[in-house]
This record gives sequence, structure tokens and C-alpha cells, in this order.
Amino acid sequence: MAGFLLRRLASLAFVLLAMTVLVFGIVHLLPGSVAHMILGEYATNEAIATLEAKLGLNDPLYVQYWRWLSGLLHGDFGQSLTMERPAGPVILEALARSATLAGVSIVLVAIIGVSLGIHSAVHKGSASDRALTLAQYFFIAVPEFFWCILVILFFAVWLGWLPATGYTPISDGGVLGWAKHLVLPVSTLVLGLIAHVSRLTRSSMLEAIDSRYVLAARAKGLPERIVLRRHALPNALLPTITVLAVDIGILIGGIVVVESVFAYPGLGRMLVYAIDNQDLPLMMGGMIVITAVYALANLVADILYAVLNPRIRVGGTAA
Amino acid sequence: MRIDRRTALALPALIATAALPRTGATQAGGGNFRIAVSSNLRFLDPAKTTIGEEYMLNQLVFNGLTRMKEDMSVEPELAESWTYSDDLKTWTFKLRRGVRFHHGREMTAEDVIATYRRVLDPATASPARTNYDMIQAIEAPDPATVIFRLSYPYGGFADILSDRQVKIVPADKLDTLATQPIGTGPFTFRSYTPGDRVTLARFADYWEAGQPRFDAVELRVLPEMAVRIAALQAGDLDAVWDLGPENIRQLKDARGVRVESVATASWDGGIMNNAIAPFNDVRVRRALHLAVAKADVVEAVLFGEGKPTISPIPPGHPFYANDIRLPERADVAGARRLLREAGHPNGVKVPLVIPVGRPVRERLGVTLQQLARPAGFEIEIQRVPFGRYSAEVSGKAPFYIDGYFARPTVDTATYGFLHSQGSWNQRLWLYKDERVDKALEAARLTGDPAQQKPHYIEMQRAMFDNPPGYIAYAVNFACAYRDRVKDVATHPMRWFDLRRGYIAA
Amino acid sequence: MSASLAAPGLRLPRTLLVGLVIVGVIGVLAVLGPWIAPYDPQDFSMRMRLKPPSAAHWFGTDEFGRDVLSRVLSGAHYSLAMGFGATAISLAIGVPLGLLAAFHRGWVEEVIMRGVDLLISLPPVLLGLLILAVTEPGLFKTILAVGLVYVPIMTRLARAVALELLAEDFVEAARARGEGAWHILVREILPNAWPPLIVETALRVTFAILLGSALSFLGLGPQPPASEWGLMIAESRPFIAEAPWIGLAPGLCLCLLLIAVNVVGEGLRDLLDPRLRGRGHG
Repeated sequence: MAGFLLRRLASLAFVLLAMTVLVFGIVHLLPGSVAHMILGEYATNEAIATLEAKLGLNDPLYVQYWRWLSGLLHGDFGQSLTMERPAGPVILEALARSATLAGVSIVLVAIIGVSLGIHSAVHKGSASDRALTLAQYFFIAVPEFFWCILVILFFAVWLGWLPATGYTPISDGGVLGWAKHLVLPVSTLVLGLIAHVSRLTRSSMLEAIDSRYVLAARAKGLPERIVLRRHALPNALLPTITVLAVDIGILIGGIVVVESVFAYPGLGRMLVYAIDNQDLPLMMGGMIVITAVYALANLVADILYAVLNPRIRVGGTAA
Repeated sequence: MRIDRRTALALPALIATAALPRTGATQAGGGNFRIAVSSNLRFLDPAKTTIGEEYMLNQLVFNGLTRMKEDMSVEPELAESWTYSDDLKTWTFKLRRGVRFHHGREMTAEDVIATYRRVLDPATASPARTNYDMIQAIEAPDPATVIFRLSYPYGGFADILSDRQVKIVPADKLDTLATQPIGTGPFTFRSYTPGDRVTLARFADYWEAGQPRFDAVELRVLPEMAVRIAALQAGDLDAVWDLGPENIRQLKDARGVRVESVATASWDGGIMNNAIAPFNDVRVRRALHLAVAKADVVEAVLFGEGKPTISPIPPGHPFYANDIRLPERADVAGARRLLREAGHPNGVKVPLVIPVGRPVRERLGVTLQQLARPAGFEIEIQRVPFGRYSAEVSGKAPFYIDGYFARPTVDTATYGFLHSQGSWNQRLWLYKDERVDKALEAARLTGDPAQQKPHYIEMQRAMFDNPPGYIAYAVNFACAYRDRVKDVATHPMRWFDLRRGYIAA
Repeated sequence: MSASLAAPGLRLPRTLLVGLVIVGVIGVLAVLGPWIAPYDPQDFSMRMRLKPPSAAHWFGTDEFGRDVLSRVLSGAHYSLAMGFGATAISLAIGVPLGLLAAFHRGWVEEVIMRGVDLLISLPPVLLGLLILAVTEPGLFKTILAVGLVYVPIMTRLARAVALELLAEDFVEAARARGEGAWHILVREILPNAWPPLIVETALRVTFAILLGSALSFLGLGPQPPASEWGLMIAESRPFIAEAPWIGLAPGLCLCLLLIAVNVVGEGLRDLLDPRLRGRGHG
């Protein structure tokens, strides 16, 4: 197990390091000069040249890269170009808010998705199973950005009732005020994912129910509830864990859209802002942070998978 | 003909202050005023601000030497009064005494000098720097007097001191303006959450008695218009800043909500680069004017919430050239003929950059693309985020959609944009027309509106014959308020003066 | 992994048939769109702007009085092109890389698979955003960006399938005959690897369409006045209260297409490779 962990950690470190090179490289392909961006369109050429020298923008790229990377390792994300303040706190605050959104969503997806999936599998062929299957087909297929339109249309335009948008910290609005602001973005984010997870849980649960060891347990005369809970469920949950990790990737994509629509000041919106305004330090920092989160989520999923299923440890990672 | 405020300004007279001495009586309890805006604020430092949301903040946290009211007249603010020499080159401002910054110190002539030196310093890279290039020297004979010496006569000098970037900042707090702006304005800065909101609190020691009344002001960034409107109707907001023309119709009959739309001098247009083909040929520029009637554009893009215009001088302004008749209908044959003369018998193909996320300007692009098609313009649209305009588009692209907010004077709205040596001109269309240059130079040498008027009429005639680009219209500015919001007016400069406003219980 | 399940005469499940029919109909409409559209999708008609659905305009008209049905019809091909084009790209690049990695263990595999690890650890929308941030937007770039995003998944799958096959007797036999790498990969492995690859491809199309339209929605796809569905939805936002049909029509069509493509993908999976049931998307 220790060897497996070490290997996964090493690969994580590699991915993150390579990602810094990739992000730095792509960002420096962007048209326009950084000094120009800082000083705005009203800068004189001398002012740009002075600033370029001061920021070391004339140094070779690898020197600049090293400067940025060693800053990163010390927790310094550089200075936001457009907001004239350190990028680190901006990124981390946005991350904390997005993490709230994503955390609440993924917990809801796991609980609701898995329960619905088990329910469907156990009551295979029933009216509720068929209704769920039909709903799943629909919900999986609706893109997040269209969900947002539907949610706005439904709540804001037709009902004339819109739970609060934006964000309120617990310190200001209390738990209720804080939770109120999560309702719309979270519900928009989770609908598709719940459909996805419940669908998967259903099929893996069905497979598990038909498997030999469940048959054996039944043959031993164990009550059906215990058979399902002790024997079928753990096996059925294995693929679900991997899928939840993949879903975090989808969630991150969804967050970019959902945060913009509901004015939620998280990482996704910050990143779109940074790209639109070519705020390079903010952009690079945001990218690295998102990658790190995503990679960590995958690592956790792999470890969970390995813990639950000892056979996998020797092999590669799960697709 | 009567020419409103400028007649008064032409007389070298002392302008008396209207404000009462501070009594210490407070009238708080006006409530928390929550305004929805669309874009994230970037610069909190007034000298660097470039977008409407930032200008609004300037108005709330700071004061200028002069102030522009909703009727576009200028009144004293931190300057109590001023005089100017007969040659319009020496301007002496008497400062108001007893005005305190938010950190408690009294405002003096040193702060005024520091403010203007900072804006004029190229290292600050203030977008307003070139608007004040006539300032040659600033002196403070005593703590309550500031003298500006100008390099050329400038009649509208007191007017341009009301503009957005020249808000008086404390000389001892210049380093922290970017994150902790401090001014003398009616509201103090409390917090800024990027992408979310700016919160302000009532400044109890504000120098105008009994003002402000709001206890707090919040600028909330809500990118989605439908969400802004729903939140307003649900009572989560008190005002929506800058409604789209399509929303005005939608909200006109809404209950509990008041919509105000005012004519402004803000304009949008297709910016053509006069140095690159195909628009380096005036016949091609004029062909587009024949191909697409501005009246049709106003209807398609603004749902009628604006007026076709020739130059940045809007229809309804005393200097507007009423005798020039803009075509009501497209003249496709005429446009084709001009294109043929310019050597494009088979039409002309040109890319057009439009800004993502600015629906009105996007619509202007799509409208030009479609309406110019019959005349042989094959326009290919490219959407580019507005934030990338300054690096990639301005002054480089052959054709792009952009727009500019109203300026405090006709000179500031025209000279920089249209004079061949104008600072903005270099970044827009690289336009050069001798008649326009002469008219602009002549107009700024006199402070007398009656003498200025014929020059600006001549400028518009010249621009009609030789258009720099497709200046489409002067657009209205509209805001929506909850009924309970009182004494807040919609300002044609697109900011809010919130000193008297309050929310009725 | 054998092909026996796809034996001739096998009856197609009903859902798969329904899905195929819908995708087929949308495909036909996309091709015929320009000819069967009742109006010019770009023509303004100021007197007819923001009109609700009616007999003359089944899906209503938009802010310029353009016929929404005609625009939806003339925009269908974008979604299909993005879905199938991007998947084809990911297949064309990903499968050879995967086979190569499986066959040449050692440093070739190491380089390819570490690259895959790297790309797969960027969330798809971000990778797309990044690629498009450095280039000007356009249909083909969007297709390419979406295709590249899904290359690593194809590579992983192709490698896994090939590794299993390489252990099979008939491959051993080919090796024993002294066949070269090319022959083994193209003649022995590829023909036997197609069922799982087809299944993955079919499922991938859904996500390629989704990602492509999301990028267009963000302004990074085909440019106006094109009526790509994601772009149409984005442009409809200012009118959502007054004229919701402008956004609902392309949105619902997009959902229908996605459901149908997804049904086809899952149907094919159940048909060809029941073992893969439960494989995730992403």
C-alpha cells in the first residue's frame, strides 16, 4: 500500500510540475505585452520599457519561469495586473467559495445519486424505476448553460421568485443566509450529475445482485436486506467512486458557467475574468489551483478504490 | 438663440457657493442602497478608472474641484469659487475650508496639487492625462488657493475638472489608493470582494450638511441582466444600473418599479482604421453610410432608445448641426456606385471585431453585417472579449465596434477623438481632415459658446463629407429603481449622485 | 471482447432504434437545412421582431425578426460537426498513440502515458478555454480543441484494449511468424479492438457536442451571424423574459440531439460490449 501511495504521489507531483510548464508556456503565447496590460492603453512607450525592465520581462523565458515557480512554491502567486493587489488571496478566497459549492454539490450527488440508483436496481422494472430511467436520459443530456437559462426562466421570470444570488459569508448572513445563496447554483450543478451517478449505481448494483457471491449469500439463507447491504452494495459502489472523481471534473466545468449566471464569486468566474482581461498571474494561479484540486480528487478516488478493492493495487489506475 | 450654461461660463465672474455651512446635524437612517452593476470593478484608484462601474464609485467616495449635475451644468464642489484671467490661461480656485478626508485630515491645496501632478505623470498611466495637457504649472499661494497656469486658452477648464479621474485624493495616502481608497466623498470605502461587490458606509463627517442619507451603499456585480431584474422585482436590490434598451420596454409596466431613461452624449459606432485598406479610402467609408441608414440601426439595435448622430455631439445639443439631413433610408445603388469608384466592383470583404458580453454593441455589429450586405459589404464577425481590446484591437483592427461615454465638454468629446493630433484618434481611426482640425483648434481658443458653435457646425459638415468611421447613434441611458427609492436621479454621465437619496420606510 | 455479439441477424433493441432514427432525422435536417428552411436565417424583418410562435413562424422570431426555426435548422450542422468531427480527431490521434504505447513498452509508453496523465488532469472546459485563448475562435478551431481534449481518454482505452489483445494466442502466433510491428498492430490488434472503441466513440460524441456548444456559448465557437445552437442560446439571454422561445428552441433541440446520441451510444455499448456497462463519462 505504501508503495502504491508513493507512486501515486510522485505522479501527482510530476503532473503538477508539468502543468506549471504548460500553463506558463500557453500564457506566454498570448498576444499583447504584460507591461502593456498593466499600464493600460494609455501608457507611453517609455513607461512600458521601464516597467518591462523593472519586472524582468526582458529576461529569458526560463529565468521568468523559474522566478514564477519559486514564488509559487513559497505561496506567492504574484500581483494581479488588473486589480493591483496580490493574486494569492484573491485566488484562495475564490477557491474557498467554489470549494463550498463543489463540496455541497458532490455530497448531494453522492447521497441522492447512490440512493436513487439502489432504489431503481432493487425495484427493477417497477414504475418508479422506469420513471427514473426516463428522467435520467433527459437530465444527463441537458447542458449546464441551458439549465441556467431554464432555471432563470422558471424562477426569475415565471415564478417571479428568485432565491438570493451572489454570496454571503456565514459571518454576515448566518448559516441560513449563507445556505440561501447556494440553493440555485447547487441545484443547477447537481441535476445532471445525480442522473449520471444514479444511472451508474443502478447498473453496477444490478450486476452485483446477479453475481455469484450474492447468489451464494442468498443460498446461505441470509435475509435479503443483509445480502444487499453486506454483499451487493460494497461491490456496486466501486465504480461509483471512480465516477464521482470524474464528475468533479465535470463539476469544475459546470462551475465556470453556473458561477457567472448566479453571480457567485468563485474560482470559475475569476478564471473567466482573468482570461477575458488577460490578467496573467491570476490566470496562471487559477489554472494551477484548479489542476491541483482535480488531481487531488483523482488521487483520493484512486486511494479509496484501492482500499476498498485490494486487487487493484498492483495494476494501473482505474480508467 | 439661448445657449444654456455656457453663456454664464463665458463671463469672467465669481461663482458663489450654494452650500450651507456644516451644522453637524445628521440625517442618517436612509437605508442600505443596493445597486446592481454588470462588470467586475478593477481599479479603485480614481486616476486609473476606465469603466462605468468604476466611475460610479469615484463619484461616491471622492469629490472633485467641480461637480457636474444631472442637467449637465457645473457647480462648485471642493472649490468654493473660481476666477479666470481674460486670456483664459490663468485659473484661480478658492478651496472650501473644513473639508475632511475619511481618515480625518483636512483637505488642503497640497492634496489638489498632488492629485493633478499624479494624473499628469506619465508613470501613473492615467487615461485622463491627455485631457489635461494644457496644464503648464500648478501653484498653491496658500493652503486654500490653487492656481492653474495653462499653455493655451481653455474656456471649459472648470468644466473638465468635474470629470471622472480627477477626484481629489489625500497626498499622504497615494500608495494605498489601489486597495483602500480614501477621499472626501459622502461614502467611505468598506470592502471590495472581486467579482462580487463593493460596500460603502455613510461618512458621518461629510462636509455637506445633512448629507448623505443612505447608511450604506452596495455595488453588486451581477453579470446576468435577467437575474438583476428579477432580484430588483423581488426586492433584493434597490436599483439596476444601465438597463439594456430591450429591458426598458419590459419593465415599463412592472409594479413597484420605476424606469428612467435619459438622453446622453454616449455613442457607439463602427471604428474604421483610416490607415488600412479598405477604409483608408473615404469612398468606402461613405459607402457604408449610404448602405446602412442610421435610423434603421437605432431601431434594430436600440429599439428606438437613442438618436442617429453625425459626431460625438448628440442631437438636441445646441451645437448639433440640425441642417444636415441624415439619410432615412438605405441607398444601396449609391453605395455600390461608390464602392465601384473606389475599385471594389465586386464588393469588399472586411473583418469586424465585436466585444463579447456587451449585448448592445454585439447587436450593432450583427446589424451592420446584415444591413450592409446588399450593398456589397461582406463583413466577417469576430467576437473578442472587451478586456482584450486595448492590447489587440484598438488602433490595429481595420474595423471594430466600440463606444464612448459622454464627456464633460464638447471639446473633450471631440478634440482628442477627431483632431489629427488627438490622443484618442491614434488609438481609433487615425483620422485626418484639415477642415475638422481647423474647426477644433478654433473652437477651443474661445470660451464663448456663441463663437464656438459655428466651428462645431463646420466640424460636423466636414465629418459628413469625410466620415472617420460609422458613428451610429447617441444612446439613451436607463436605470430601474424600486418605488421606495427617493431622490435619486438618473445621470446622463452614467453615474449616481447619492447625496440626497433615501429609501422610504 | 470477441465480435460474436454483433453477429448478423441480431435484433436491435428498441431504444437504440429510436435513438438512431432521431439522430438520423436530425442529420438529414442538418444537411437539407438550407433548402427546407422557410426563411433566410439571416434576414432581418423589423416589423416581425420578437413575435411568439405562430403558423408563419413555428418557433417564433428573434430580436431582429429572424425566423427562429430557419436559424435552428441552419445551425444543426454545427453541433453534428463538432460532435462527430471532434470525436473523429480524438480517435485518429488517440488510438494510434494508445496502440503504440501498448506495443512499445518502455520509454515510448512512458512518454505517451505521462502526457496523457497530464492532459487528463486538466478539466475539459479549462483545456478547451486555454486552447482557444491563444487562437482566434472559429468552427474548426473549436472542433480541434474539443477533439484534443478527448485524445487522452481514447489513448488510455486503446492501450488497455491492446494490452489485453497482445497477450492473446493469435498475436503470439503472429510474432512467432516474425511479423513486424506494423502488421501486428494494423492486421491483428486493430480489427479485434473495435467493439470497445466504437462504444467509447459513440458515448464520446455526446460529450463532444456538449463541450463544443458550451464553448460556443462562452463565445469561443462559430461567430455571428452563424446560428450555432450554443451561440443562439447565449445571444437570447437579454430577451429571456420577453421572448423565451429564442433560447428555448435551440436549447430543446440540443437536448433532443444529446439524448438521442446518448441513447445510441448506450445501446451500442449494451449490444457490443456488455462488460463496459457502468463505465463513466467525463
